[in-house]
Amino acid sequence: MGTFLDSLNPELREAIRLIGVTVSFEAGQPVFRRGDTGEAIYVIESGCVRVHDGDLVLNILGEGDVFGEIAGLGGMDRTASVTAEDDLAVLRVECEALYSAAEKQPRALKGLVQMLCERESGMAQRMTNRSRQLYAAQQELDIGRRIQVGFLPDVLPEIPGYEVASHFQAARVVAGDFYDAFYIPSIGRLALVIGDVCDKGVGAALFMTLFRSLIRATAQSRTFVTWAVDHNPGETSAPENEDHDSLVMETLANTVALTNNYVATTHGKTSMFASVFVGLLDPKTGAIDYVNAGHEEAYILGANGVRLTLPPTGPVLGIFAGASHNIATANLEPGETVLLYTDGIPEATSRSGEHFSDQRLRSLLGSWRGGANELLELIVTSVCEFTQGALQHDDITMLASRRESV
Amino acid sequence: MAEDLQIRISREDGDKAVSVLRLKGSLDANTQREFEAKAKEAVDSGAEYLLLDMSAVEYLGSAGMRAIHAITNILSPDDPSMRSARLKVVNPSPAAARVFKTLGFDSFIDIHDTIDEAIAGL
Repeated sequence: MGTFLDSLNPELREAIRLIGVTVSFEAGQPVFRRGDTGEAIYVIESGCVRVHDGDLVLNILGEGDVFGEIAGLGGMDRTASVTAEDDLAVLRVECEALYSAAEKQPRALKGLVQMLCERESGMAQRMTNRSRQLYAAQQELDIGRRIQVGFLPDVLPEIPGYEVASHFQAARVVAGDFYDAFYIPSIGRLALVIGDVCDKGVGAALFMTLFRSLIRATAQSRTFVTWAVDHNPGETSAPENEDHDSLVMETLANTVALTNNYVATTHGKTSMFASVFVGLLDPKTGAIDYVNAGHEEAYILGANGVRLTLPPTGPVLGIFAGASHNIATANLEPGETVLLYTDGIPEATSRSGEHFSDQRLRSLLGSWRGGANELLELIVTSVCEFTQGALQHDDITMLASRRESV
Repeated sequence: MAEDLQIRISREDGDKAVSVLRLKGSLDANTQREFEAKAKEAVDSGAEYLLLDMSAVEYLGSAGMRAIHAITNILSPDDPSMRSARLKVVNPSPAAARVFKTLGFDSFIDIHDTIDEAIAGL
């Protein structure tokens, strides 16, 4: 027989051969389950087994290998399940009988200790290898996170008469939330964008980069195309003619429709969607033309808290091809602030499992006076006080712009 | 906040093969796989229509909505827009109804007050 028995001292090998009984299992049949009481160790005579915890396969063992020795010799509950991969024959060795044999033959006991030490050493080696693999995977995630942060604006636009502020805090290493703020010279508007891709983790992060890029590229397509022709980016000024308003509407409608229909027709089978708010702010008048695609209400904050809510004007983007989104218009008066946020704020969860809630957010905003950066700091502080270090379940993202008082 | 999800499945076959999934608890990133697996099981065992009784759903996250969309794709693979979906929602809790409305799913999925009403509408 194979490697395990060969590695034992002759006394222990002899004891195992005397006590062991060959038992057969059919493919798919469990030898034991996690939680069963361990009474025996097993040596595989032919076939192979899967060591697993539910669907998670921990190891595959074949002819000559031993299993079940941890719980068997320790009299503990099984720490994992073992199932026959194909037709299986094992030598089942009752541990009580093995201990009795060892009492009569001390060299067999020494053999048992040696065997366990060798197993321990092998396990330590496997742990080291696993740790190396985990470290490599973490390095990859870290690279992903750094690349993803590059999909958020590194500087916020400076618009005379306005203060723009943002906050971004991912729940996991990579996140599905995004925000964006950029000036569109061809229509003289400041784009304010916030989005939340469904679900969490790497999948959400991949789609975040897609949604953000499509929105940014489409909204600025005129600028980018002109740049290619004229080689002078940013100098295209807002046209002062009667078509200007319709150009703004067209830009907004196209941005939303192209993003939605592109993702829905190209990636619809993944069922990945994003709730997105896209607002185009006219710095001269404070008018905000917006589409709210299935996102949380945005707020316009005046002297007494929330003066206006900007609710959804259509469904989320990315799964409903051909969906229509209405364009709505709100006005940001001097001294007022527009606040966009993701559901990571109202759904921030305390240690007792309670949500921060829209009500808490609104009542907090009722007592606030100050600038956009101070506003976001106030909200972050309040949410942190509320959650008291409880695990952050969702990304927390905010974008705010304050129009200065005249 | 409920940490997990309980799913009870029953057949309500009349003229059509219908499975009802009664959901209780949280349908979110932690429970969506289990929900999708149960729904797929119902479809594989012959259900042509699925009714989701969501009266006891305490929390519905975007991952849960993604799972609902994925299931409509299984039921009607040629209709990614969900417009002719064979999945109906029954009696959603206020928390669930709010999510359907905010995300705009209520324009694409039929929402009924009772199982009988939903079956009558098939």
